[in-house]
Amino acid sequence: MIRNVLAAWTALAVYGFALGIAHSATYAVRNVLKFPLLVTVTAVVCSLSWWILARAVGAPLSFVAVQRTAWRMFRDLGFLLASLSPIVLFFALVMRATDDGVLGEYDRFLALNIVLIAVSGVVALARGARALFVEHALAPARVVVVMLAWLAVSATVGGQAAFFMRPFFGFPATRGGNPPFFLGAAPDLRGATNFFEAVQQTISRPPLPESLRPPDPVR
Amino acid sequence: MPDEPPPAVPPSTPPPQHVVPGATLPPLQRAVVPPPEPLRADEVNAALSNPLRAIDVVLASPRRVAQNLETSTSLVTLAVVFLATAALFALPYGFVLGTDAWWRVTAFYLGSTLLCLPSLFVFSAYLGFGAKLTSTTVLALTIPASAALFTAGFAPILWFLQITFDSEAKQIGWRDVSNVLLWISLGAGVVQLWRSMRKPPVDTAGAFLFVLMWMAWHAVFFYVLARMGHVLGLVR
Repeated sequence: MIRNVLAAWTALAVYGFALGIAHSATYAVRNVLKFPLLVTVTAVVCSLSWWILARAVGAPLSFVAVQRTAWRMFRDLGFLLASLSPIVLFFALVMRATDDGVLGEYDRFLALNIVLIAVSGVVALARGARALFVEHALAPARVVVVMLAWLAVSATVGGQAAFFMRPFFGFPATRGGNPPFFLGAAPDLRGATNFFEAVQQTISRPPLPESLRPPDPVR
Repeated sequence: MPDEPPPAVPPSTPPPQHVVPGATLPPLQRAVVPPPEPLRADEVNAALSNPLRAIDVVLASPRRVAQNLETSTSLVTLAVVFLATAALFALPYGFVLGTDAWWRVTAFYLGSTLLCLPSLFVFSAYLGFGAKLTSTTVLALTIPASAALFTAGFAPILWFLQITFDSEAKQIGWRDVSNVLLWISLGAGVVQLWRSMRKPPVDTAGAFLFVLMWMAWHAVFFYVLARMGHVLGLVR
């Protein structure tokens, strides 16, 4: 399991660096620590509930076996994201060179990375499910339920951890300042103070503050 | 000599049986899955000496618990294990809610169940489902015991949300998430109860009455639970 943990940390550090370069070298270097920390916090906080959920579904897994499976999936997620790092780095450098100094393509870059993380996560989860199915001879329906339950718990905790550990890549207007390592519960662009409010605002789309709105097109 | 086509039926194959119209066909052979063994006394006792084994008894083997109910095996010890699980495993979540609220989650699930237990026993006995007090108690305690185990798993998550949320969040606070986690735990308990339940009566009317009684009891139980949640300040 130690090898999986180290592999996950390394791979996620690579991806984090590529992501952070969209803003500045400071953010890139910080992400080398932040991304492994994000996954570790998520794994530690979720570990007990993962095990209890697995037992409730009828999967005869020990606590250690659950942690091993989870970290193997995080390692796979890290490898998949690390393989996408050159693409992310390319987009980050282009975005940094061409932004308007206010918001730039922040929203688009954010959306791109959410899609990449989601796709990689689903692929890692599917492979993890297959391994569970083969190694522990679990019924496919049980594997699906276990995986969905783990996904829901991990997304909840991981989402909040990511929100708390912001910024991973700030918008261009913050460049040159000295932002804190973690923004914590400080309001984001639209005023959300936690992950759940941020999700709610992603759906309801309240307007951005005046200072960050793009200028009206000149007629 | 021309090649003869191979025979369609090998010589060793028995000749096909002719079905006589009106004759009774032999019943279809169905694979019979033997019911699981009930939990042994030593397995149940192990959960008393090692609380972590309670997870195996309460969560991981509902069909075996159903067999215990069916065969009246180790029911008193099971009831004690379920009661202890419901009382102890809800404490971590209570402590996360506040040092003065450590008992509230236990009271929420276990208290509500104990309030509704007499009605469940009397109604199931009155309607002729052959309920005994011990088996009804074990079955009813499945809800608070399973819910308590789920809250134990959620306690670290709630603690993490509590320390990372703005305490004065205007839209969604950590207590709102706590409400959802408490209801998820309750849902898990209800599902576990239905998985642990004995077979309903064979005749259709009896089965209908059985399901109806349980639905009615659930309605009463949820109402009591909601009121309890408000009284304890757990659910808004």
